[in-house]
Amino acid sequence: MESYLPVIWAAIIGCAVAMYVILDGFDLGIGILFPFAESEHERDQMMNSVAPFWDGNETWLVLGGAGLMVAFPLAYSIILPAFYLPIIIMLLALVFRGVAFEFRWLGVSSKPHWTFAFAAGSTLAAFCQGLVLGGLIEGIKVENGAFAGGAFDWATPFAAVCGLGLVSGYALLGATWLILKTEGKIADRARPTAKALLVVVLAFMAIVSLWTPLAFDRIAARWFSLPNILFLWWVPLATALVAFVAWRAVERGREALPFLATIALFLLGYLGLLISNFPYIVPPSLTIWQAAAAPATHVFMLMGTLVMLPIIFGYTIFVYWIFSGKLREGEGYH
Amino acid sequence: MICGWIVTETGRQPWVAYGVFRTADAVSPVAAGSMMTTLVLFVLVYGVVGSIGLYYINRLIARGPRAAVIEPAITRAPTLAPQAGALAGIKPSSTPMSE
Repeated sequence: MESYLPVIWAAIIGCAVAMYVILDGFDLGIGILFPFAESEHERDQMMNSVAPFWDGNETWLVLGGAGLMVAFPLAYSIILPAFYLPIIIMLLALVFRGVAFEFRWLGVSSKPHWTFAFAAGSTLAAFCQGLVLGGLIEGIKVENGAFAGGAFDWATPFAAVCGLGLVSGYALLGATWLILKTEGKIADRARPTAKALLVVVLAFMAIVSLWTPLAFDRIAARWFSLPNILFLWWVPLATALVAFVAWRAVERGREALPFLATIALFLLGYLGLLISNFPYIVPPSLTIWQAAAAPATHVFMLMGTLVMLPIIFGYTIFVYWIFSGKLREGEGYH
Repeated sequence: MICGWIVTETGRQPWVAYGVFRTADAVSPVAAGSMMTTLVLFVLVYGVVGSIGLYYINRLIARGPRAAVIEPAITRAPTLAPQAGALAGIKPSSTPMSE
């Protein structure tokens, strides 16, 4: 019991984070793409395409974070102080992004300001998430079960590159979402955008994938030692293949496949991250078993989660089904 | 509601877990400068966004409710009407029901 409960909880939190990255990825991506839209009318359509979904999408972050606190409190108490500034700045950026959804419709002279708030909030939140990702890969200084580093340990070039990579990745998700959900001029313009972003995202994935084993011996050992390499060689190949599928899907006028292929690209990157770091939840020193809460806590929370998670999945699928189909001109909440 | 929170959080001091754990002992290893910066940022952001929100709400209240607008029927919806009618035992009419 003691040894597999943390694995179950790590899987739940891992899935919650993956769901968050994919779902909030596309609505943050819409915000990142805002500056590149041609008119406020086009921006209205972009915003309306995610309006029914963005609130629910963002709640997966809460599930991931709260799940981390509940199931791995030692990891939570180390990771959050380590990334205190990026996390708080991300939250404040999300505040502006969130209110921009509503405030943008309420005034004429203030609309450009809320457009800016939406775009800047989305981009900054995505960048901060990338900083945290990069910082996690680099590892956190831990002494006696507590965070022992400085306030700016996360501020490294590697983390900045991860931040930019995530911003472009979310933009790609947003562009492929527009291909799926909108029609007419926006959808047509989203296709060359998606192709350009595919190249950018692949470049960032390649840079990070090469930088990581070069800079961190533990990750190089994980990937390139025998027999691991025999099980892992297909991951970069699959990534290239999925990117190619996405490219062709965009070129050939496919509607849903670009978005699905981008999701697959994200999941492959996520898989690479897991391969590099499992079972360390606080790289490089703390495993999921070391950071776990008492088994009684895990069991208690699991009972609640096993009831709630199907309900959450159920209403999520329901809302995507109700609002399925293309966004037509003039449709929206307001 | 905010008054309730203020009462709870100040009333429990100096304990964070009453009788068991003091707030001073529960502090995370975050630099004081970071804490101060984010506290100031929080107050600023909430102050700005909250004030603007209040302003918009007051402006909407001042304008009053708009007259109800009857939206034209959405093309997909009428397919439900004959099925719903069949369930209720009513024969579907030749004209679609208005929304």
